[in-house]
Amino acid sequence: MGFYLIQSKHQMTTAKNIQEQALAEIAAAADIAGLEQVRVKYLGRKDGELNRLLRSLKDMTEAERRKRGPVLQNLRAHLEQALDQRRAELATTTSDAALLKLAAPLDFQLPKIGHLHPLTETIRMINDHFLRLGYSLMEGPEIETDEFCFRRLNVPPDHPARDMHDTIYIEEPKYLLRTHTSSIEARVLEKYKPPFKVAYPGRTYRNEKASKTNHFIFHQYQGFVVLKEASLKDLFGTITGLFRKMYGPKVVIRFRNKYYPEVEPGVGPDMQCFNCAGKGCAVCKNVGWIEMGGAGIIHPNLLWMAGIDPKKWRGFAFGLGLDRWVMAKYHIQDIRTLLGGDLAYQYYQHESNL
Amino acid sequence: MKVLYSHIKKLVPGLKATAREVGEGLTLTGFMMDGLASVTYNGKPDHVISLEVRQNRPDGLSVLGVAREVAAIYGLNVKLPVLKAKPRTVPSSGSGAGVKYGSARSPARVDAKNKVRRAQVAAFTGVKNGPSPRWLKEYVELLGMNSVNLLVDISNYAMLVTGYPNHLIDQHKMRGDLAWGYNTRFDRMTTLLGTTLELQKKGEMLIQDDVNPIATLMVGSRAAEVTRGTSALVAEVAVYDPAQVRRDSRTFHVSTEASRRLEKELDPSGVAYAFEFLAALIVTHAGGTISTKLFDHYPRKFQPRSILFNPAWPGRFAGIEIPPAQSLRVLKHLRFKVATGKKMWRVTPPAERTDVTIGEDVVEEVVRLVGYQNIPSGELPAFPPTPDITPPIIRLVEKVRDALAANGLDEIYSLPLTTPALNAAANYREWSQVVTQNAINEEYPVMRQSLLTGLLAQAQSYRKKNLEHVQLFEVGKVFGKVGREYQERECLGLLVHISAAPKVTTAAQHILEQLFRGLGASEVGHRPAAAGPIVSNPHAAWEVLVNGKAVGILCQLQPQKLTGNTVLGDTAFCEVDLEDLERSLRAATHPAAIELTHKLIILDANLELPRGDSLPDRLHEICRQIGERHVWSIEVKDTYPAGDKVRYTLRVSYRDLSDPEAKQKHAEVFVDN
Repeated sequence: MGFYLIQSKHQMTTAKNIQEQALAEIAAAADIAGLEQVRVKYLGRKDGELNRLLRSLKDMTEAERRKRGPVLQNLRAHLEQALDQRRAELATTTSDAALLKLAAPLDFQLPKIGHLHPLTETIRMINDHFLRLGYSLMEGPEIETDEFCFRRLNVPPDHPARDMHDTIYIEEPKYLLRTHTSSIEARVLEKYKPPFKVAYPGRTYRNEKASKTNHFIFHQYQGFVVLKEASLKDLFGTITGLFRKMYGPKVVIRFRNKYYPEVEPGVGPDMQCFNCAGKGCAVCKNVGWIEMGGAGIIHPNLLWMAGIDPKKWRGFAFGLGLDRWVMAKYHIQDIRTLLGGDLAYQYYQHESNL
Repeated sequence: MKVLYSHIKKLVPGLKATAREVGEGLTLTGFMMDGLASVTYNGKPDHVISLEVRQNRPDGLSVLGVAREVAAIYGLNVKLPVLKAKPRTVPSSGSGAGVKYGSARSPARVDAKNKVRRAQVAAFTGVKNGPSPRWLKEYVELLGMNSVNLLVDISNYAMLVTGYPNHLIDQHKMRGDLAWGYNTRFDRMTTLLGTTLELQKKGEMLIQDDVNPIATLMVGSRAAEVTRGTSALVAEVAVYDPAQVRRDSRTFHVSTEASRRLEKELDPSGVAYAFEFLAALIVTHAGGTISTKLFDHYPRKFQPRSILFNPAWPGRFAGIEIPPAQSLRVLKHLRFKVATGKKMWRVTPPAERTDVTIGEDVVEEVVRLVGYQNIPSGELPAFPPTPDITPPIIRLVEKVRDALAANGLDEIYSLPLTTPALNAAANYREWSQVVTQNAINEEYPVMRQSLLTGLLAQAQSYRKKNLEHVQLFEVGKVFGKVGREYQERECLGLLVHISAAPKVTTAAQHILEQLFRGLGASEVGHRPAAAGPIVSNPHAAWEVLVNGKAVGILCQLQPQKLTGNTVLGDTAFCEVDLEDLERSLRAATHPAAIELTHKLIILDANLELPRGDSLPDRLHEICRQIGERHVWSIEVKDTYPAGDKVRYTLRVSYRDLSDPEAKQKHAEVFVDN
C-alpha cells in the first residue's frame, strides 16, 4: 500500500500516520468497549479521521481522486480487517483486568426452598420400590361402604374381626370412613380383571381419641398381586426388599403367623428393633421387635366375591402403617404433628430424595 | 391372654423349652408374645407369658388351647387336668372329674332356643365359700384377675383354663327358674362391678329369673351375686350365637373376659368338659353336693367339618417344598384326623378348632407349623409384567407436588375432619356437610368441605411462631353431600401470605399459572366467581379456567373475619379440583413443538372491552377469527382501565403468513376492536 499527502479543509495529515496510530490503538485496546472507541475515532461516520479524509476527496481534481481514492479505500478495508481480528481476539482472550471489570456478582439472598411433607417423601420412596417391580398405583374413596370396607374383605356383619376396627360411621351400617386401605383392594378386584400388581398409599380413620401416640387418622401403604402363581416366598421377598430399601441391607426381618380375615395364611412382618438390635427397649416395648403391618395370601372368598376363580388365580396382599415409619425417620415424637400444628420446614434446608 | 409357664409344662409333659423359647415359638405360629415376666408362684420361681391372641381361634383364649398349641409346636401331647371330685363317679366328658349329679330338677329353661347353642346347668347345696387357697388366689391374680373369694376365683379359674365363661348364682337369691331369653321386662341392671346398665328391650338377651335380670351375655348382675355367705348355688356354662353376643356387647358398650370369648365360635361340645371341670372344682374345694340333674340344652349337635385337602397345596402356597409326609406329621401334632387318598386327603380338625373350615385354613395350619422362618425371604420375585392401571390423576398429583415445591411452597397434611363453623366459613360449593354419627372426638364432627380449613389453621400456627414465609399447599379430599349421594373430590389447596398485601392475589395467580402451564395447559384464565368462601373478599374472587374449563377458585382472604385475630393478615387462597384439572388437561392434545419455516410477523393492536367481560373468551374468539394455525401467540402487553371499559394492548405473533398477509389479517380482525 502507498502513502499520500492529503490536503483537507482544516488540517493536513498522512494516511501513513493514521494507519500507524490506528493499528497501534487497535492492538492496545483492552476490551470490546475500548476497541469500539478506536473504531469510532478512525472510522466513525461523522468524525472518524479516515472518513474525514475520504470526504475531502470531493474537493480534489479528478486525477487526484483516481489516484488517492483507492488508497484510502484500501486503508479503510485494512483497518476494518484489523478491528475484526482484534474483536475476535478480545472475545476469546479477554484480559484479567477486563474480566474483573465485567465480573457479574452473586446475590446472597437465598431463595426459600419448598418442601414435600414427610409422608409424601416416604410414600414416594415406597412407590419407587413398587414401580420398579412393575406395580400400578391406585387410590380409592375415603367415605366407603360397608360392602367394600368389610364384606368384600371377608368380614361379614358381626364378625369378630370388626373388633379390630373402631369404625367412624357416616350412616350406620352402610356408610363409613374407611378403617383401612384394603377397601381399595376390594374395589380393584371388583373393577379390573387379573393379572395385576397394585400398590396404594392412603389415609384411614379409626374412632380413637387423639393423643401423642395414637390418632384417629393415620396412613397406610398397602399392595397386592393376583397372578397365576404367587407364594409366601414371593411375598416375603417383596417385603424384605422394601425394608432393605427403607432401612438398609442389614435390616433384620422376621415373618410370623398372624390372623387377618382377608388373607389365609396370614403373616405379620416384624423388624428387629433398630434402637436396641433386638435386646429389648422402650421403643420395642422390650420384645426386641417392632410390628410393621400385616400380610398374607389373599383369602379365596375375596376372589370368589369378585368373580375371580381362586383355583386359577392366587395373590398376596400386604399392608404397612406409615405414620410410625415417618415418625422414626424424622424423629417426630407426637403423631399429631404429622397432620398440621407443629410440623415446620427449615427455609433453606432440604433432604436428598434421589 | 396370660399363661403360667409351670402350668403349661404340667399340661405338656416332656416340654423342655424355656419360657422364652415357648413364647417365641408361640409368636411365630400366631400367638405373639408381648410380655414375659419373672414371677413367684406357689413359692417357686415361674414366668407369666403374655400373648396377643388376635386369631379367630376360640380355643386361643384358654390355657388348654395354648398348651395344645405348644404341644403341636414341639411334637408333644397335652395331658388334660384330672380333678378327683368327691364323691367320685364314672367320668362322663373326659375331664376325669367324674362329678355326681342329684335327682332333683335343675332350675333352668331356654326360651331363646335359636340363640343358645348349648347350656348346662346344675344346682349345688352345702357349699362353703370363703377365702381362696394360696395357689388359686395367686393363679388368678398372676393371670390378670382380681381374687374375690373362693367361688368367684373358681369360676374365673375354670374360664381361664377351659376358655368357657360361666356364672355362679346364689340360689337363695333366685326366684324361679334361670331362663335364657330376650329382655322384655327389665329397664336396668346393676352389674357385679356396681355399674348400672340401661337395658333397652330391643332384642338384647338376658339370663333372668322370675323377678330379676341375673346376667347379660357379658356380665352378671348383683341380684343373685355369690357372696361369702352363699351356701347353695346354681352354676351354668353356655355358648351362644356369637353375633348376638357382639350385638349386645356393642349395644351396652361392655366388653368383658366373658364376652371376648363368647364372641368367638366356641365349640358347643366343649361345654360338657367345661361344666364338669367347674363342677369338680366347686365340689372339691367348696364342698357340698350337686343336688339336681344336669340340665343340658343342646338342640343341634356340633360336628367338626370334614375338609378336602390337597397335600401339594402347602408347598405351592409357601413357595418351598413341603412333602406330604411332613404335612401329615404336622396335622397329627395338631390333632387333626387325616384320611389320606391318592391325590386328595379328607381332613377333620379337632372340635375346638371351629376356625378351620376350608382347604386354605388347613394349608395355614401346615405352613405355620413348618415355620415361616423356613421360607426364604431374600429374593425379589420375578413376576410377569401386568397392565398398568394407574389412574392419570395419581401422576398429576405427583407433578403438582413437585412443581409447587420447586416454586418454594411447603406441603402440609391437615385434618379432614373439622367443625361445622369452619366448614360454613370455608365452603363455596353447593353441597351440604357430611356429618359423622359416632366420632368420639367431639371437636371434629364433620368432614371438611374445603382445604381452606386446614391451610388457614396451619398458616396461623406458623405466624404465631414467627415463621415469615407462609406459602403452603395441600393435596387432599374434600367432602360433601348432594341429595342422598356422598361426594369426595381430590383437590389442591394453596395459601399464599405475603407482606405486600395488594399483590397477594397476583402472587397466587402467578404460582397457579406457572403450575398449570408446566402441566401442559395452553390457556389459563380467570373470571369473576359467582361464590367464594365467606372469609373471602367478594370483589377479589375468581373462577380459575384451564383450557376454557373452570377448575377452581382464587380469592383474597380476610382471615380475621373467621378468627377475630389479625395474626395472618391479607392472604390469597386457591382451590383446584384436580379431577376437573386432569380432564381439562387431557382434553387439550395440541402439540406445542412445530417446524418453523418462516419468520414470525409481530403486530400490536388495541382491544377495548366493557368492564366485567371475559378477556380469555374474547381472545379465544380472536384466535378463531385469525385461524388457529396462523397464531403463534397473543400476549397482553398492557391494561388500561378507562371508565366502564378496559383497554388492552395486545401483541399478536402470526406464523406461516407473509408480511402483507399478516397485516391484512390483522386489519380484518382488529378493525372493529
